[in-house]
Amino acid sequence: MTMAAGTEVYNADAGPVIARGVSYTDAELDVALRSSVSHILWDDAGTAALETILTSVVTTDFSDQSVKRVLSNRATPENWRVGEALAEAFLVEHRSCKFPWPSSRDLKNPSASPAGTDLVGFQGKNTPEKSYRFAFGEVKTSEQEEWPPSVMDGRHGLKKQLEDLRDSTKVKDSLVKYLGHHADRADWLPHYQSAAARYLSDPADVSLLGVIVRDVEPKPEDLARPAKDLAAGCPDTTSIELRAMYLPRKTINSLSERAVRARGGDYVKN
Amino acid sequence: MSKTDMIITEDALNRLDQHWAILALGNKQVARALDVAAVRIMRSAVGRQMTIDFDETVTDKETVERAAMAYELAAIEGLDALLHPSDDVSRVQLRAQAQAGAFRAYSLRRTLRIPEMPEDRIFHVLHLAALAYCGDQWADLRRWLKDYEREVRPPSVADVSWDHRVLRRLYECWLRLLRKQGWDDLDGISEIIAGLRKDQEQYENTVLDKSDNAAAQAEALRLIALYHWAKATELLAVYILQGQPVGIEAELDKHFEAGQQAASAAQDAAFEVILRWLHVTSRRMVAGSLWKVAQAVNSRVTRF
Repeated sequence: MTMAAGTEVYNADAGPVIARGVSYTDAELDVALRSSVSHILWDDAGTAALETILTSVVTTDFSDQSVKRVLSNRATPENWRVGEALAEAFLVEHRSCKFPWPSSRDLKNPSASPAGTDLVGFQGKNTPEKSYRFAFGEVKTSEQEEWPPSVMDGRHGLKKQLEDLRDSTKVKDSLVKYLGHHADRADWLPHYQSAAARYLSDPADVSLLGVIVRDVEPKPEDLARPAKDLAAGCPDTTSIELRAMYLPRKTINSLSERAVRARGGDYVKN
Repeated sequence: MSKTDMIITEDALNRLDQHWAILALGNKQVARALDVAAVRIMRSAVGRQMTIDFDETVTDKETVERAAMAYELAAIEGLDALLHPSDDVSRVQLRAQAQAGAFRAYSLRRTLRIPEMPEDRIFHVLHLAALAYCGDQWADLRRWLKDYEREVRPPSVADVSWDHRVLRRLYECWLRLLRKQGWDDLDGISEIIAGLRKDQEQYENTVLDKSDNAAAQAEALRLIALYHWAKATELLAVYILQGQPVGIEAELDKHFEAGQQAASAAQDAAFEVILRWLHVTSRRMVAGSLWKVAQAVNSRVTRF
């Protein structure tokens, strides 16, 4: 394990919702960036696929000039992407989660896909039959000196995203089917079948994970109210966990640079 | 019988009911969903001429959706076997599972409300059409499209961004392929796609010029997926009209697979899934076309 669990600095649990704040030292962050995060962030398979996709455009008889210009721009990953990778590494190494695809495949599509979450995968349950259920995760990164930060609220805020996942099957159904299309011959096929059977039997039987990555003074106000709101009306079989990961102060704006340095790569600044 | 003939047997439907997804849902739920869907279809067919003594409950909408999803998961498992048929026993069974699952999912989903938002509506209709083709229900689909002609009409392309313009125009092309209202209707598809190629220069950069590099790249990938879909659609329409090129299957595979890869890289799950379904649908259309039927007859005659 190379992603530390962090040191708990507060507990803001509300009813069934677990809400904890944890802090990280600079040394812990450094180790994570060099190992766990690096594996998630630098998706070499995804980059190779991009080259193939690009060369195929000419066969459609549409012009490839503009898309080529945009896709040839090799830029550093944004700081928020590094934050997302930190959250994913924590969930994989400390919450028995398995995500079939890296959360930070070179890109994110903020507008085109209404049916999406930052992370989608499986979580192992500590039951004798070793069953799995679906895990849906949302991650936000914020250096704002407000508690909670604005990314927690609003139409696209973390709280609303988790409420939608808690209350509606629309996004979950779409992602369960999407995973189904990729499950054939995948090493996670048994996980999928176990989770899908549980989901069909009870659509509330899922794990929802919300993580905010911060570099300000840790305060329970970041999670207390969202936890309370999410606890109200939370079905018995849904588990919700909120986690605030507090990095050393003023480190978010250099996360990308540090990740590139840790990789020893040749990416240019965006 | 050829490897691609479509017959949904009682045996396949019975086997389907033993699938893990259907068992997970439970017999009671599945039976209720099928009853609700059957009554809805009957009511829409007979109108007010007959009163059917059957009351729906508040949970029925969800019950139908969940059952349709379970059948669809079973169908998805066998999609590859449907796309690439072989005589291998397990693949034959998977193909039968895909057909039976799609048949059941279609008969449930066709009773659901058509979404009002244009993009939701497009995806809903295309998804339903794909289930119909995989479940050997294309004739019923044609009737459904006629019954809901106003609701499924292509949305306007005025004042929409380039990617949505392409999506809406492609939807129009697919409606033409699905409703089969004559050669002129199909002939118009090539013109629509040629028009998109002409419009590309004027509109494309408006969606690609974004300050956020990651967002611009995602948009570029989404456009690439749309362009591959457009090319596949054009090729399919020409084949249905002229029976050319002879190796249409490989061409369709190439463009649909590249489109899926681009949609996947753009992390657009819903788009990637619809392209997977339309890929199989396009192959079903080719297999059921006059040209393939004639080819099969000719080969028999030659052998005779």
